[in-house]
Amino acid sequence: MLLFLGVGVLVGIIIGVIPGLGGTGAVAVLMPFVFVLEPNQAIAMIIGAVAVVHTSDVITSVVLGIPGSASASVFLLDGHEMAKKGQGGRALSTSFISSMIGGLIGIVVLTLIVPIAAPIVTAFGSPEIFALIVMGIFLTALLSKGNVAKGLLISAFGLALGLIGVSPVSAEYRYTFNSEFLTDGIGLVAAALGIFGLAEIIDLVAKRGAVSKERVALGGGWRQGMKDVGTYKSDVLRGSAVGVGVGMLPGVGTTAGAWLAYGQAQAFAGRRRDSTFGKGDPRGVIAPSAASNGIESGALIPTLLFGVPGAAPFALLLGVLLIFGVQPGPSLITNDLDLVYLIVWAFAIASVIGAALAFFLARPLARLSFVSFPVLAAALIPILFMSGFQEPLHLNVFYLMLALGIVGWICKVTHIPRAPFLIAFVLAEPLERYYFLTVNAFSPDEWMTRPFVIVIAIILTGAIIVPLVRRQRKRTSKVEETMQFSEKSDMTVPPFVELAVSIAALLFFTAAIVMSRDFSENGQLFPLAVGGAGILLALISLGWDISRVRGEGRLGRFDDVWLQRLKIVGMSIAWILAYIWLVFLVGMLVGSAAFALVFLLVVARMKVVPTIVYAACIVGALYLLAEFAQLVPPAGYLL
Amino acid sequence: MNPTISRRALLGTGAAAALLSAVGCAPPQTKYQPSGAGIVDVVVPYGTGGGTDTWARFITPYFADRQPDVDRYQVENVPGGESITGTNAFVRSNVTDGRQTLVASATTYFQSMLGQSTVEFDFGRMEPLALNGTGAVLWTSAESGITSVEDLVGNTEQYRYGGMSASGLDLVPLLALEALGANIRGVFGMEGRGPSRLAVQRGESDLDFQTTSAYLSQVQPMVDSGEAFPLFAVGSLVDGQVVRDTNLPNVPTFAEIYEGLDNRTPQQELAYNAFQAFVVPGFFYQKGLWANEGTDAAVIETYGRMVADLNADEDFITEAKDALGGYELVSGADARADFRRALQLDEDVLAFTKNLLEDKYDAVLD
Repeated sequence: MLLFLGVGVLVGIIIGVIPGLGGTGAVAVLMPFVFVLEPNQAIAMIIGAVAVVHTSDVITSVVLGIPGSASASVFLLDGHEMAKKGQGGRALSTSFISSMIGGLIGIVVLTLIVPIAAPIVTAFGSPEIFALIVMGIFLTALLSKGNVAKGLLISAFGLALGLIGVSPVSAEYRYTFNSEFLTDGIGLVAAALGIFGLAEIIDLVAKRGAVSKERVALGGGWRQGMKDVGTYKSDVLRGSAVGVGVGMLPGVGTTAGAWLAYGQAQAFAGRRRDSTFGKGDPRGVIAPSAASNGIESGALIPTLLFGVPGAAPFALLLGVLLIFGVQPGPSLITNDLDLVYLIVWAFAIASVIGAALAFFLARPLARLSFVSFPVLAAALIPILFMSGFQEPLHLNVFYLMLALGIVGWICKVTHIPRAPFLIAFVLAEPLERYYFLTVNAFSPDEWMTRPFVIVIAIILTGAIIVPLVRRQRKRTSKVEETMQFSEKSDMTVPPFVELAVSIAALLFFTAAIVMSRDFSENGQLFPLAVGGAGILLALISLGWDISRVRGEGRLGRFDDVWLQRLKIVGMSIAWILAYIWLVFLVGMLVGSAAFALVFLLVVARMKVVPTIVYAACIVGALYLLAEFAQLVPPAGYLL
Repeated sequence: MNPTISRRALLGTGAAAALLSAVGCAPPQTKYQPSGAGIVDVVVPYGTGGGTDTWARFITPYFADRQPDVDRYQVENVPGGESITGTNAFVRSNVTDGRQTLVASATTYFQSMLGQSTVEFDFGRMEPLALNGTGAVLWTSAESGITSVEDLVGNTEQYRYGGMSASGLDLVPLLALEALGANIRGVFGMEGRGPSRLAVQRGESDLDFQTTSAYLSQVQPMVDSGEAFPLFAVGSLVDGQVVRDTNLPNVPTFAEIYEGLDNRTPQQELAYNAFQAFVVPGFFYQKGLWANEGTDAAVIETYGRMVADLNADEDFITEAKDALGGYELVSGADARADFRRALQLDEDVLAFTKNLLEDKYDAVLD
């Protein structure tokens, strides 16, 4: 059994490292093997994978600035900033230890709470989940300091994209333009990889830099990471607590939970006035790491006690349990206590093994940040597209990812934070779902007076009013220290670009409202609300841009440095387009091989022999994923 | 950037762009490619790990064991479009020699019965190979204020029914409640049968519908402690007659309840007719392995023989108890007539169902 647990852990770690594949991917990989094993072995294997996938997905995010899974995008802020400063080792070790502790705390809580969990889970209903989600949406505002209007604007953009697909209330298709491709909405993986991953690639591909410009000995960082966990004990605990809480409430999800944990850590740090969040603060790594494993262990509670999957991978676990005749439910505790303990212990052991394995893996992987980026990109581009393809299984997703990549790059250069986009995108569907569940199940006076809802309402009003009052009192001319969440780009954009962004947003939201005319009454509510908010924010943002143009007295234009940069970006986009068409023509494997060969020789300027070897490795990796990890490689016209 | 490189790269990409602009449109992904000799492909139009996928992965190895020329079945998940995408692809590939099969479920059948515009398949013409039904129970909590089924007949106080989507599997209990003349408000948008069950426990809805196996494991403990009780079950179909479910001997079937009503309006009659039509594919033959129209008779016979074999196999019955929800496999040949009859909806019954969904439950049908 321990052997199979180990196999699960290994698969979980490996899948975690691959950009875009998370817990669900790991379980899907193991699914075919489940049916040939003994029940205990199979369950140990699945738990092993689920328990560690969020340990290792941090690596890609921190080292390369490309999300290892959707929920690991949170590490692109402080984690990746630390890596850029050459503290990648520190960030990673901090993260591994925190996620191990988070998982263990989750397990302890789980053990204590199982006897009394049922009333807790039933006490929290749709109104509470709805309140939590609203809080998550507000979090986007907190993360938008620096460029508030545009940050909120991109949140609205995220909400709007999240509305695409089947409406959760009226079962009608919205914004799908009668295409089969959009009926299930935009895949989360594709969105995260596009807006964060491809944006990074577009910016760096044609430049010949490495991710980290400073060579710092990794070893020192590792020890420092352990110290950090000691220093910020309270953050580890709070992060785990947030995680377990979110995990116990099915419906919020891992990605939103990780961001909620980040938000609370930032708020607490802000109170202590020593916050360097967004600039590489270890607490920005600790809280979400502890939370993401806390979520997985917390999610076991609804899964086992109510048969309600608390997180996506657990839906698969439920299927496995049912096959083996294990019926989750209140009776599980009385009839199958040994099985519950097997699951709990498997989880605990896997957390520890996973952290240890991740340490071994991270050392070589952390060195990737010193490799010239084009060399990495030859492997990253195929893997990103392959991961993004898995959800929709439709090649149009390639165009979508590229479009989002360009949006992400524009955000990068105009200092618009991208985190709010992803949070809003993830929360769009549950926000709508739980709003309608709440108002249909309860009258307003019933749900608005529930204690937890009132508490959240008070917190939110406090968060809005307190800063305003303070600002009124101070009235000082001292410039407030702004927190930047967008990576600092080294050049400011000319004002007309900002103006263009606002105008584009205005057009986008106007179109969204116009197109929502045909929807049913229920289906229309959210598109109209989001569109209205978007238009309002776009107008505010436009006003600011116009005043900036007036202040500078000109619209500005691209100088030579900018032109050079645009040229690089244009080249990168052309390379990616060429890759997309290659795949359309000859399929994933051959297309990737051809692309890698040409790209490595021309852009990365590698020598012929290493190029051939490396390209073969890339295609080999894709082939292995298709063969053993059940990934579907896109087929082209010819192959 | 070195200028010579940029020029060469520019030329290269320019040439590539010119050559490839012809392939700017995405190629379709659903071409049937047989996995190879000795492998039967199984299209599952749902995601990995869901109920239907699990059923498919559980049952197919047994069929592989019983065919000398088949080594294994290869499951391929094609989720999307509420199962329409994968099913359309299966029908388009039009394999009729049994090398490719489809696993379908109630959601898929309903899509075609309600005439969704994107549907390209017709289960009234396709060949069922092996089907597996399940029972289901409508239950309520002690706190809901409902004390018995009588409270749902022409009730004045509105009760809440919680479910996923009115035009999905929840349609069956909604039609039943309509046939009682119950005054119901739908609370839709839940993410699964687990959340809808939890909603009753949380007091967010009053009525919930569970498959028998989920009911026995999750709700029965609450029934034993007096916190919940069943109202009616769909029963099971034996020789064309609806009888009480052997797994639920103490729960009356809906047919019994309906027969016991005194004065029934034409509306209720229509609702009951619709209920009888939708419950057959919805529950009595909920999941199944399918082949295309025009499939070789030999293939259908083989499956008929294998199903009979399996049902006589004690080991299989114990192993399958949980995966099949405690219900027998039925061979396609035996079930075909019942299934096709249920899919022949009368115009007025279909119109009634669509009106109910659109007017009362704000569902959008296209």
